[in-house]
Amino acid sequence: MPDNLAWPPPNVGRALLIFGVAVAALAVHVVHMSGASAHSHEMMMSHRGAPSRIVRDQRVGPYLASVWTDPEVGHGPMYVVLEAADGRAFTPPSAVRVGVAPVSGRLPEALHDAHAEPVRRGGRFMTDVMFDRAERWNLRVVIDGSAGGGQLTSQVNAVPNVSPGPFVLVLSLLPFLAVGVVWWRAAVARRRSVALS
Amino acid sequence: MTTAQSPVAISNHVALTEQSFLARLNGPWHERGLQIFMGIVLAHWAEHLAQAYQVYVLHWPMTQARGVLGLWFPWLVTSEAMHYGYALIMLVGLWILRRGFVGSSYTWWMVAFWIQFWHHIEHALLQGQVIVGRNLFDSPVAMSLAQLVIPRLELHLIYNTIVFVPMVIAMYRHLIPTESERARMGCTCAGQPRLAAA
Repeated sequence: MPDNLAWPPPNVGRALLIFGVAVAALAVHVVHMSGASAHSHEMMMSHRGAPSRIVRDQRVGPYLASVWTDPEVGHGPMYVVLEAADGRAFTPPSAVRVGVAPVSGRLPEALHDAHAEPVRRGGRFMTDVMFDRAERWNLRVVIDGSAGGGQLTSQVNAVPNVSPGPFVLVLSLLPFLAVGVVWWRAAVARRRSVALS
Repeated sequence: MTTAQSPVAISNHVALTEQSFLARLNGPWHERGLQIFMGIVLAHWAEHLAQAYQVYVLHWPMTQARGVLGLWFPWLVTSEAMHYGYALIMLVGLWILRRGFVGSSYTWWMVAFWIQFWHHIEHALLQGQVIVGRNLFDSPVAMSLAQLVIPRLELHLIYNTIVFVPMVIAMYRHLIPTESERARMGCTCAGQPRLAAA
């Protein structure tokens, strides 16, 4: 038999079965370890959808401020975008802080320092905030600086996180299983072809 | 001399040396080419698997979950250039290997190509926003169009899946062709030229 027809190894069916069982076991393991099977995984999820503008061009001292976030339950970025008001030159603020607290009052306000991000015009500040429940939240942005400052307040509705969560892991395992199945079927076809010849 | 070659062998050799690189890639080199291409695709999936494991099993913060290569080269994950580069490699690979497929496998392969073509446009949009320094819809982050309705991590996985599925179907039909398809194949993927030689 030519060496190329020795491919694949003779026990390929059993190897594929072991591989399939291993993949399934790993999938069960990771879903279990992630906690998805035991309780809601919302707390550990990040809201990473496209941010939407929840405050548009609100005057705060010498700035026009917009606030962007993806208001899903979980951790995620909140952006404060500043432009100079009244056509003046933009002077960066020295501090931008973002506070969130549930409207219900069940938690105290969590105040976060936002850090500046590089932009070509105006200023953009980002911080990580946490919405632990799908409910209405108070939002407060405090701006300080040599050019002046102030604060804006608003409210935002946190919505349930619809991410598939740990099942992304299972999805990421499937390609390896699919390639394994194709390789196995091709191996069987080759062996049959050799046997017929 | 016992090493003299038959006229047929000489003819085959001359034909091979006259073949262009692309013709060889879709002929005698197609099997190896597909293996390398599939290796690249699976390596990319392995990175996603590692990243998902870091997020959902190890509970690392999203910003720290950079897969395996991203741990040593964080810019690979944070820069749009790497994502665009991979989308481009996929697109080029699907295009230059297409001629080796015949019949229904060719159809499925081209389905994967056209989906990847759109995926590549989305990545070009993201890369363009980084280069220009302005984001679509005045967003604070670079945006693709489908990202308006689907979060980016999931969207990336969905795109890779809907490209991968027709690719695998094409591979399956290419490795296990019908008799008429086998007769039209110029590569060794289904084994027929080697069997003929044997």
